[in-house]
Amino acid sequence: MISDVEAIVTSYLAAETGARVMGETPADLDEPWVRVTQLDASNEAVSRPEHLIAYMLQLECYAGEGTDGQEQAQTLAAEVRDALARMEGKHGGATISGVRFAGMPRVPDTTLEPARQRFILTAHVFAHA
Amino acid sequence: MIFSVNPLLEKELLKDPEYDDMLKKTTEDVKRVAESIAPSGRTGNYGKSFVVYKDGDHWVLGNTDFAAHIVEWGSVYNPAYAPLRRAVQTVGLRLSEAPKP
Repeated sequence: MISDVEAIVTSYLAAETGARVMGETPADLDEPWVRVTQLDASNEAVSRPEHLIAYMLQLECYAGEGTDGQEQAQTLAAEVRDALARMEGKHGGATISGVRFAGMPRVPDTTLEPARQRFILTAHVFAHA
Repeated sequence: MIFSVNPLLEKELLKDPEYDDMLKKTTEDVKRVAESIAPSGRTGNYGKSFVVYKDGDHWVLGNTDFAAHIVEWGSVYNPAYAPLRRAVQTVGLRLSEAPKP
């Protein structure tokens, strides 16, 4: 069985970018951060069960507090995207065989006052054990 | 004999009634999947708020619930359920997100 790819990607991005990358909302929202969420994991049709898995991950790149929020969030998203694009290879208990990005919309988080700038990367990470 | 791609292919297809029916049916298939995987929440309103409509030559699937963007993408207080993105994948389509203008 494949290891926890969500955790593997989170650790990898934290190490590669030096940014705060985690699977939950941090207690401190003052500095930029990235929240990683696994939305789905499906067996690739051409593979036997539990061998080649396509993980759909959401990587929310939040700006910290401040007036240059959009630029901060966009810069962080670009760094995360570049790092994830280079991730092919063995990592922990999984081999990442490919990464594809579905998009990167700007979706401010309106539950914060004022609304916080956020760019959301939807990435498909293909992995096998 | 030389094969040449019809430069008007996309425009002609969009005007073809059978192609239009296929697009509508595919959109409704995504809607059914999205409804089945939508989170129920306190009122169940989100799951009942999916709409399919035509916008120019394209068919659109949306959700009229006021919190639909939070259900799809989450917030600092809410996880992302992503029913629309997951439904597109489940139906077998390739997800491509257009950038915000």
